[in-house]
Amino acid sequence: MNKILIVDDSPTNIRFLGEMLKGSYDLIVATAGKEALSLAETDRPDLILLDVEMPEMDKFETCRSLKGNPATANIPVIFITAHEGEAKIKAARSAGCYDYITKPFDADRLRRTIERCVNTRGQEGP
Amino acid sequence: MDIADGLNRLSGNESLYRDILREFRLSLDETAADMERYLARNEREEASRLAHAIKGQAGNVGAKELFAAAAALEQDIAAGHHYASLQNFLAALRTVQGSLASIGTKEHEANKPDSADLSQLTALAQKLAREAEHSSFDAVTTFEELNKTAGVSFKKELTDIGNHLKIFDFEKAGQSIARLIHAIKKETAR
Repeated sequence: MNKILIVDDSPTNIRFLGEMLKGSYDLIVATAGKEALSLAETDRPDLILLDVEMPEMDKFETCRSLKGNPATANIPVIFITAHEGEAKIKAARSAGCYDYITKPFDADRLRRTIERCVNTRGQEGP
Repeated sequence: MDIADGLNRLSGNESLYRDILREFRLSLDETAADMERYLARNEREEASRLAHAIKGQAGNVGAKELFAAAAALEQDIAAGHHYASLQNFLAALRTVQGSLASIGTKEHEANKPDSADLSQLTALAQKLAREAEHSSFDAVTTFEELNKTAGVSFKKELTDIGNHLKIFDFEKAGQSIARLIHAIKKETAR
C-alpha cells in the first residue's frame, strides 16, 4: 500500500482528507512544516499532500526544503490550496510542487490526481 | 449549510459528518474575536491567514455562504478595504454557528456499556500507541473503537487522548495513551 503524508494545520481538513483516502493508502499526518520534513525523511512516503499556512514555515517554504534535501527530493508533493490564482499556481510549480488540488475537495479529482502522481512517480508533473 | 454537498464529500457517512461538524463548530469559537482583533491592530497577514483557513474548512463542510464571505474578506484584506466584507463574514459566521448549535454530544457516549473487557482494552491501547508513534491517521479509527469499548471506564485518560488526537498532536496523545495503559494495568491487577 502506498504511503501518503498529509500535512495540514487544520484538523478539520485532515479529517476530510483522511476519511476520503483511508483504506486505499497508508496515511501519516503532520500539522506543521518542520514536523513534515522530519516525517518525510524518516518514513519516506510515496507522496506528500501539503497545506500548511504558518508564519514559521508555509507550504512553499516546506516544499522548497523537501526538494532541497536529497533524502526527500524525489517525493512528489501535491499542494492542497484554497487559492485559485495563476500567480499562486506558478509559485507552487517553482517551489517544486507536482500538482495542486483546490478546496473544497472533490473526492474523484483528489483520487485521480493522487493515482496519477503515484503511478508516474519520479517523472515531471502534468 | 449545504448538507448534501458536505455529506457527498464523505460518501454519505452521516455520523462522521456530524463528528466533523462538531469539531468545526468548536474551531469557530474564537474566530470572530480573533478576526476583529487582528484587523483592529492592522495585523493583515494574520487576518488573511485566518480568513483563508476558514474558507478552506467552510468549503469542505458545505458552509457555502461562509466560504464565499471568507474568500471575499481575504481578498479585501489584501486590497486594504475590508469593512463591508468583515461585516458579511461575521454575519455568515453567526449563521453557521447558529445552524450547528443543535448538534448534540456523540451518540455513542449515551450508549456506553457499564464495564470494559480489560484485555481487549489493553490490546487496543497498545495498537493506538503504535499508531500514534508513527503519526498514523489510523489512530482516529482505533481511538473511536477504544472509546466505545471502554464504556464509562478510564474517562479522564480517554478524554485527554481524544483532545490531543482531535488536533493530531501525536506526541501528547502518546503520553496520554501511556497513562491509559498504566491505568488499565493497575485495574487489571486489582
